[in-house]
Amino acid sequence: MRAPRLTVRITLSFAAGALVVSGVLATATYFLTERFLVAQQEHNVLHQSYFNALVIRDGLLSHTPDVPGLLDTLPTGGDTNAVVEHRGRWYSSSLSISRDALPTAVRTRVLKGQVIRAWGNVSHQPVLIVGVPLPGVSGAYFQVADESGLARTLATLRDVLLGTAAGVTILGAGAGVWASRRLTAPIRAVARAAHRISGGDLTTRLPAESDAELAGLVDSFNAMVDSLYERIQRDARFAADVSHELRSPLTTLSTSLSVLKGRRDELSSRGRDALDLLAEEVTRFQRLVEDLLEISRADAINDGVARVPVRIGEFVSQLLADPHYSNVSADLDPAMRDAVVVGDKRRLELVLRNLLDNAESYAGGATCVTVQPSSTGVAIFVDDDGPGVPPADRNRIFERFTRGESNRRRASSGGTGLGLALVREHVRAFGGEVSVQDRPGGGARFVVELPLGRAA
Amino acid sequence: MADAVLIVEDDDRIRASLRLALEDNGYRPIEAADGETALELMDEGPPDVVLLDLMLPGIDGYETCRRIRRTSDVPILIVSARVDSHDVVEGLEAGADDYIRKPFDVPELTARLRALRRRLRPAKDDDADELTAAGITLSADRGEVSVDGRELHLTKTEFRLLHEFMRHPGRVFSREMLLERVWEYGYFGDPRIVDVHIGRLRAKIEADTADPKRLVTVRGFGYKLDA
Repeated sequence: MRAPRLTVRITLSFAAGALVVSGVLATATYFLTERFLVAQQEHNVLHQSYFNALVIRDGLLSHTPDVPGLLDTLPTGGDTNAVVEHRGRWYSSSLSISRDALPTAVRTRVLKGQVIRAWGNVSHQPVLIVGVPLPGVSGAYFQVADESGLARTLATLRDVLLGTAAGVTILGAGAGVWASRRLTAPIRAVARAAHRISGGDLTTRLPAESDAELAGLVDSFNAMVDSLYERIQRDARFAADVSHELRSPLTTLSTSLSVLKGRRDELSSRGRDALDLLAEEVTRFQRLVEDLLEISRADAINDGVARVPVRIGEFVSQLLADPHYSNVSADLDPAMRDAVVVGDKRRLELVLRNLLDNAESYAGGATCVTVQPSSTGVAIFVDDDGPGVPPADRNRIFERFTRGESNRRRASSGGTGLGLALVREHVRAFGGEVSVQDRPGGGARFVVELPLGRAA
Repeated sequence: MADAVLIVEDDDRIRASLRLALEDNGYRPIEAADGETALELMDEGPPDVVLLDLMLPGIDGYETCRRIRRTSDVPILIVSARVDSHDVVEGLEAGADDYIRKPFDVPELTARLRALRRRLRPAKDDDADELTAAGITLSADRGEVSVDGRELHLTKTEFRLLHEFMRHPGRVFSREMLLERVWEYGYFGDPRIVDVHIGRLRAKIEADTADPKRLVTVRGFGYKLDA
């Protein structure tokens, strides 16, 4: 399985970190505060209970103890209620709290002489119960303090701490997003630059970086592109030089050959056969040299491509007006009549001629050239009704000197192995793309998609 | 008499094969192996056409072209193996009329030579002898041009190009139309030839070439003479 994206991972780490830290802090804060508050409350209640127990004991020491009256003198009411046991009888300061409100265990142990402090529930409210035995007067004093206020305080504290922890977690995630953006910005810049470079724009460089670590990356990236650029330029120059050097002998060859052709009648029949062979091979040699130069130009950067508007409809009509292509029909979409592409007309001519020649070599000639609008601008189809191109070969045929299954025939058809590679290079120089698919009804369809220029 | 073609080419074998081919096609070749020789031969008696290689020992093809242009409006056809953008443009800017790249077909070469020769004569005789537009006066018969009364010296190709505009002031010519009418190329001729010649013409007839008032560019289409 693919790992989640780096930005997601960084964000999640930040959020998790914030959650752990804020969770630990919140939990610790809650429990410490709770312990402190509860201890303090117990201490207070206990003190008050002892005091109240003394008051009750003193009252019970009289001959005619008035227990309800005694209870009234206690500072009870509201949160605190008192219950007194005297000689088996129970008295309470409030109607809501009576003997039954006291847990049996508490009562039993207090009546046995133990001081008890316990937490309980009265009508679902937490209460703190303190029981003080009064052995000298055969009684016991119980105090029931309603501690729902404390519970509410703790609940509020808990809510606040939970909210804070959640907020901190969200802030952590936000910081994670920000940090991951910051961190991955240089990576994304490198990726974008690499993408442009692989797309052929070798003038792309990364801007200088002040951060020392990133500067290292930027410097080595730029150095890599520089050397790549150098290398491509050197290779292109070499191919161009070779091609140029071959032009001089080729000129002598083709010029001398034309003299021989003009004097064909003076030759014997064997001489004429030899002349024809020579002429064919010189033509092929010449094409190879031309294609080599073209491809080296396509490799060279900034070779000064002429950028003139070309009316695509007119262009295709003019090209097909060549008697050589009299069997090729044209299907021009009226919407594309005034469509203009901007670029080097000579290269566009080479693209279409190479596709038409390719159809001639492999499929007995193109059948139709279609010009129609496409999502990227204009699409030019070159159709044939030959055997088509198998899907496995559809990318490979555009590579240099690669020849498809039926390509063994090319050696005898005068092809150079560079024709379709040149098509792709030149179409890309226009900012377009070329591909091959099946023509509906059989045969191959080469599709050249070009962006449209401003109609002028 | 057969047209004299001055071949300026340092490669002996190319020169020899060109001589054979041109002789067989009815031309009278004159050979020069470098620029200096070519200029001397020009002084002895100008040929009808010059075939000029750009890569020459000593003074190169561009300089030879410029020096020939100082004294002569003879049609110059550049023959070069180097046809990268700047080579062609620089050669045309040096005053050449057209170019052909090595290796070429001999029929292609003779077609270019014939087109150049035809330019030596006025376009058609159905025009008025003297045309006037945009302050320019052009006399097709005498081959003279003056701008605001000032006499101009144009090469044959520049003259033919201007003539085309003068015959239809205000009409927009696409590069393809001009290539066909002046250079006798089809639709697929090199539009840079037109652009460079328009530039050369502007340098002669415009007060400010950066802001042409007479030969104006029609964006995305071509050029017109603003009458």
